[in-house]
Amino acid sequence: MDIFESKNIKPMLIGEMQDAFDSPDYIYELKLDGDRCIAYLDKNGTDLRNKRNAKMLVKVPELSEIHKQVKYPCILDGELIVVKDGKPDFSEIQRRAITSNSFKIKLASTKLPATFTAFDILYYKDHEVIDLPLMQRKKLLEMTVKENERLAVSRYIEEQGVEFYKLSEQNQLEGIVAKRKDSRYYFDKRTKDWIKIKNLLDDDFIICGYILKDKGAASIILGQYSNNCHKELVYKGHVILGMSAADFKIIKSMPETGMPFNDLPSGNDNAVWIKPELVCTVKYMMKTSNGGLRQPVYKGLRDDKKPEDCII
Amino acid sequence: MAVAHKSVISFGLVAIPISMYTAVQDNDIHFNQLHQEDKERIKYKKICSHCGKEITSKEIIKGYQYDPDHYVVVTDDDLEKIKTEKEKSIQILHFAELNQISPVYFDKSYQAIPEAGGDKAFELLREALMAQQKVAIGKTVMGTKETLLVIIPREEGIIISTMFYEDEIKDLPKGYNKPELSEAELSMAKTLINSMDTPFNPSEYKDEYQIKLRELLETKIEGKEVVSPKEEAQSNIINLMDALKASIEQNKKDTKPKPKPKRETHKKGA
Repeated sequence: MDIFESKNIKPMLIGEMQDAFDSPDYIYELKLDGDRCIAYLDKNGTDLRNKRNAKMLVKVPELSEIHKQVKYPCILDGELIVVKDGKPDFSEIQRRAITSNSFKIKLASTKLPATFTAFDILYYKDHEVIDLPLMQRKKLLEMTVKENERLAVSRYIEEQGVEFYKLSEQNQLEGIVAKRKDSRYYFDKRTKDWIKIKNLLDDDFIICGYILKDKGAASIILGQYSNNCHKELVYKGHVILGMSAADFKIIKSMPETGMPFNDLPSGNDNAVWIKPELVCTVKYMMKTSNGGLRQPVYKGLRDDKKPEDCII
Repeated sequence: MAVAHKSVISFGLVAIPISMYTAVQDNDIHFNQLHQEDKERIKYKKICSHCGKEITSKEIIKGYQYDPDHYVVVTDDDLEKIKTEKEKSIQILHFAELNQISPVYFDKSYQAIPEAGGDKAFELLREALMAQQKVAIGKTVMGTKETLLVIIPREEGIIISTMFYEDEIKDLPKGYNKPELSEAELSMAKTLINSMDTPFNPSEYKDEYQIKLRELLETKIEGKEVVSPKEEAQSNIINLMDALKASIEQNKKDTKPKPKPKRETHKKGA
């Protein structure tokens, strides 16, 4: 079946992380802090799917008309973002993704409407274009899309990666992505042709439990699966979260269970252990020598990743 | 959307791994309780009726009251032990016709999606049920309860509905007379029914009260937001990206005076 019909594309993922560099062989784009989505657009309508192929349009009904901004049927790869205070706000888009009450979604969509920022085109008119080199896909993308408030085309800079990265840092943005100009698109592949350049690191963890603290805060206990055949859960430390946060209600509503780790450091005496099924993103400065997280900051729950994919 | 339940439909020798998602959602407006004086949220505290201490969730266990003052304690392990592997999957018991099931038996509905490796068998089951116009009756354990289920094929997928057991359905609370009806009365009533016969279209029906309630809330919220400046909503990702790009290009121009080829010849010469 045609990829437009079957609608189960798994996007290509960034496979490298390094410091900023200048190279004539690369273009540089902003790394937008949002939800990676594939948009299927034709005259019949808009269909947005996240990395787990969940239908996202119910969460962002304000984007249901973006198919009117394209000249031909096409599949676009991009980032679903909510701009708040002039910058993409990850927690806002994540909150939207876990809301299901249609009235709350409607209120959010007028107050902080989402934007789909397309950075790649995978299908044009009636055929796949993934074998075209990146720069030709970029040209095709710009020709196909007429931008408006809800649908944007990602801007890119040639050669000057270092300068662009500095600028993104000054503006407190997440970072930039370098992409090889001649690179092709491979579905469901982690590619070394796409390189992320970020100041803060982040990773996804499984929420294994929590410890209630004073003053309405809680420590969330993080875990990840070991990367061997036993697939055991490994303790990865704590991150603080406000108990009033909407996410904490979800965490608290998980069924309780036994302690899941083989090896548990001290400081976890009052822990409440929950079924290890929620995934969250945590930002941190760097890893400590024993693998712990330095200055971890809780970013939000994510719905588009399975716990078993959170691997050390 | 979170998976409500993961299971395996076992059908003869085939096992179909599936995820079940809740089929309905609550769009109603819910209010929070606030303290009239300072408009802050009301909290619940769990307190032991004996010692009066506040109890955290990890101190709470399950008990069954068999006498006014006596409880037997049941642990999660106890409950887990009485489940068997077989019960964790959905066992198809037999097939039947949908209209043989009285609607009073239906409880919650779920949309079933095949998990990796189950696509083929799932589609086979759906197609075959559609062709035969049958539904499957099955059983599984959900939570602690052994649940009766019906697997219903639809054009777009499979609906699994949990069902009540017969002993959960109440008898009519009291009898009523069924008087004799005349042929003429019956045919008049039938004519009336036929004259009002149109297909059921769910999109035609809305909860009018909820609509009015939403409008009320929207006006109240908007009234509040006038206070905060609205310009914030104007910020757009396109503007941001253009601004960054422009400032890079500006810098490029500024550094351009040094012509590139000259530097290259320098290098070669060196």
